[in-house]
Amino acid sequence: MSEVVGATPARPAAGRSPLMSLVLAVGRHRLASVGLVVVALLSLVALLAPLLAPYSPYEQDLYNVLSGPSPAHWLGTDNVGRDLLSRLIYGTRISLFVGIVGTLLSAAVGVTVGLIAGARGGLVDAIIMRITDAFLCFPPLIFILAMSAALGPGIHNVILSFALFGWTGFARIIRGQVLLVRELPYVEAARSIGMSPLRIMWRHILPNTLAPIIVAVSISIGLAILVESGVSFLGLGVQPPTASWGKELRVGFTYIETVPLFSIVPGLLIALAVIAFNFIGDGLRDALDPRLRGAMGRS
Amino acid sequence: MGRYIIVRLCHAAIVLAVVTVLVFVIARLIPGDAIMAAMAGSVDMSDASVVKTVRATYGLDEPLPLQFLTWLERFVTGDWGTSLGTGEPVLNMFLSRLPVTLELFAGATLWSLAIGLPVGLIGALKRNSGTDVVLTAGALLGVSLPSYWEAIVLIYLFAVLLPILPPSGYVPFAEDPLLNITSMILPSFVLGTHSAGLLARYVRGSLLEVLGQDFIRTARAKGLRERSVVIWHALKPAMIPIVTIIGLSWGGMLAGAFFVEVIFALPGLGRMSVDAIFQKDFPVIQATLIAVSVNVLLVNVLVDILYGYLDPRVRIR
Repeated sequence: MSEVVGATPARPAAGRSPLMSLVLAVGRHRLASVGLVVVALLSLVALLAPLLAPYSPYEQDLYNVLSGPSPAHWLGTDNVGRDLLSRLIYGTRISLFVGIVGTLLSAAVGVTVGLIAGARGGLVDAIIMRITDAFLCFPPLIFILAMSAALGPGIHNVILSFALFGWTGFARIIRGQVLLVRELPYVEAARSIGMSPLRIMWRHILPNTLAPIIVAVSISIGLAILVESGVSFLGLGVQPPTASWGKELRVGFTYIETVPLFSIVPGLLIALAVIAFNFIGDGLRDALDPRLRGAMGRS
Repeated sequence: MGRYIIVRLCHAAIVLAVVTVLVFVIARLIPGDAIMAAMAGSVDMSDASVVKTVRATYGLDEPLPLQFLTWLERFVTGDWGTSLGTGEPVLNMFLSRLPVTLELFAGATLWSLAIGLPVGLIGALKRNSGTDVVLTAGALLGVSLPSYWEAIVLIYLFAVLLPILPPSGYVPFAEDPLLNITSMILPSFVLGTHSAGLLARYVRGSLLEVLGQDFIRTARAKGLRERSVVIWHALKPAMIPIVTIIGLSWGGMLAGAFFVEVIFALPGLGRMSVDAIFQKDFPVIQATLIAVSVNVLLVNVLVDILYGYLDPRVRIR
C-alpha cells in the first residue's frame, strides 16, 4: 500500500498492523476470547494426542466393554472395550483436519471465483453468479451426503465434497466486496497511473476484501466440523476403526439407556468446537464492522 | 414491479436448469453404472447378455446428453422412475412421506418463531446487558448445536430419565391425535432450535440497526415513550429479514430432517433420502435433490417478491 492510501472499510488504528489490531479487538470481545481459548486447547489436544491419550485408540479389552467411568477409564469404554477418552482425543485430529483443510480448499475456490466474477463483471459475472445460485439451492449437507454416496465413504471424499459445495458463500462475499472496493477512489487512482489489472487486484482489491473472508473462514471451519460429524454419524464419513466424534456419538446412541456418557460426551465436544469457531467468527465480525462498534458484548 | 418479478423468475429458471444438470451429473458420478451396482445383487452379472439387456432396459447404452433429456422429460411429466430399493414408483414414495415431513416442518417453524422472536427482541432492547450476553450466547448455541446431539440429549432427558414423551416413532394424526402430537414435540423442537437461533440473531441485529436511524431519533425527539417508539416505528422495518430467515430455513430444515427423522424413527422424506443414499438408490436421490432445490428456488423467488413489495428500493436493482 505504498502508492495510494484511501479510506478502507476496516482501517486499523494508527501504528498497529491490521492483523495485530484484529487480534486485540477479538481479545476484547468476551465471547470471542472464550472461543479463542477453546480452539487453542483443542488444537493442543490434536497436536499432542499421542502424549495425552492414556491408551491406544484401537486397543480392545473385550472383558471390559461399556464399563462407564472408572479410575482406569475416565470416560469408560466403548462397545468393544476401547478407551473412550483416548478415542475422543484422537477424534479431535479428524475434526480439526476436516474443518481446516475443507475450509481452506473451499475458500481458495470461492475467492478465485468471486474475484473473477467481481473483476470481469458483465456476462462472465452473470454466468458465474447463476451457477453459484444453483449450488446455493441445496443445503450443503444434503449435497455432501449425495456426493459421499456417489464417491464412496471416507474422510477425503468428505473434504472434497465440502470444498465443492462450500465455496459459494466465499464467492458471493468476495464478489460483493470487489464490486464495492472497485469503484473506490484509490482503485481508480491506481488505474489512472497505469497499474495492470492483475496488480490492482492483488495489491489493492484483495487485501481490502480480506476482512469478511476471515469471518467466513472461522464460521466455515465450524460448519465443516459439523458436516464431518454429521456425515460420520450417518456412517458415510470416517470408516472404522478410525475414531471420530460423530462416529462415537452414533455408536453411543445405541447404548443411550445404559451408558449415556458414551453419546453425550462426543456430542458435547462437537458442540464445543463448533460454538468456539462461531464465537470467534462473531467476534471478528463485530471487530471488523465499524457500524456495530460498541454494540456487542464488549466491556 | 411486474418487470422485477419477471426478472426474478427468469433468474430462477436459469438456476433450475443448472441444478438439473448438476443433479444428473452427481448421479452419474457413482462408480460404475448406478443401476448395475444396484442390480448386482439380484441378477447374474457375469453373463454379458444379461448385462446388456439390463443396460438397454434402463437406457444406459445411450449417449449421456440423450439420457439426460429422456430423464428430464419423464421427470417433468411425473414419471420419477422406480426406486431401486423398494420397487415402488418414486413419486408415490415421495407423496406418501411428504405429510410427515410437512408436519415436522410446521412444528419446527412454530418453535422457532416462539423462541426466536422474543429472544431477539429482548436482546436488542436490553443490548449490552447481562441478559443480552446470555441470550446472544444462547442463540449462538441454538445455531451451533448438532441436531443429532440435541435429539439424543432430549431423548435421554424426556424419554429415559423422565419418561413423559415417546422416545421415537410416528402415529398418523387420524389414528391417534394426542400421540401424534406428543411424538412430534421433541423432533420439531430439535429441528426448530436451529432456525430459532438464526432468527433471534437477525431480529436482534436488524432491530439494532433500525433503532440507530434518524426517524427513530425523530420519534424519540417528539416525546414518544420508548415502548411506543419500538412498537410503532422500529418493529415493522426490523421484521423484514424474518421473511428471509423463515423462507430459507425450510431448505436447511430438510438437512436437519435427515438426522431428526432417523433418530426419532419418523417415516418422512429425510429418512427416505438417507435410506436411498445408503442403498445408492439414485432415482430417489435425484428426485430428492430436485425437490429440495425447487423448494428452495420457489421460496427464494417468493422472498424476493415479498422484499420488493415491502422495500421499494430493492425493485430498482
